[in-house]
Amino acid sequence: MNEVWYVVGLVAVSVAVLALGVWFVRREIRDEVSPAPVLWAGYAVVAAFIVFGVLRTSWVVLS
Amino acid sequence: MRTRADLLGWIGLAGRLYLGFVFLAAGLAKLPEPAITEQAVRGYQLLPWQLAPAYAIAMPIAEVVLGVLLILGLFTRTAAVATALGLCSFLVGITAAWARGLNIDCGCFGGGGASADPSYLADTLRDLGWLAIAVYLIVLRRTKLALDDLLFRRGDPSVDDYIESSKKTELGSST
Repeated sequence: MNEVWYVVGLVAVSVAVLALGVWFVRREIRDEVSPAPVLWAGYAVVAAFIVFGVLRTSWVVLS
Repeated sequence: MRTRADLLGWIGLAGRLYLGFVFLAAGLAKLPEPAITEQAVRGYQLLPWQLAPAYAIAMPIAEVVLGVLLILGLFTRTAAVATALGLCSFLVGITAAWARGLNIDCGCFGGGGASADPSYLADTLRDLGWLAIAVYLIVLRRTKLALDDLLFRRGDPSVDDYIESSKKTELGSST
């Protein structure tokens, strides 16, 4: 049961982080800090890392 | 307002140096002992068995590089993003071991593997504190005495350069 709640919490926190990331990238684009494609590419790399990490960890913890 | 900008910049410098030295120390402690680091990585039982040796070599090198970049203030925000991701992965590793009831030492500064007395709560709180510093460095766009200033900026910084509408970073310029 512990493991299930851990995965639920991990997924919830990760979704929140990904949503915050979108807000952050949009703010940086609005303020013209860097070109939008560069920022979205960076976001995609970070998001892929997070999604892979969550999937791998969930798989290991629940198996 | 200038005082506030200065204060934010100096706090950023302090955070940068602290986090940089932490990562540098962690990396240097693990670098000469890849076999022990590999054992620590395997203790988490998260990565595929075959990936542990490569990870045990790559992680300390990445920590040293990130530590140096943070200390120098070079590509600060990019380094802070990478540092935050690293800390998130450490947090996930520690908490996942905790949730599964494993008894391991985190091996954050060398050592690692089985432990009769794991300190998951202390390790988690410590990493959360470091993560907060990394996030601060991401949100803050400029810190004091950074090489970024020499390479990517010009002129005297304003308050806006610290938090809101700066136009240039190490990632590029749109002006």
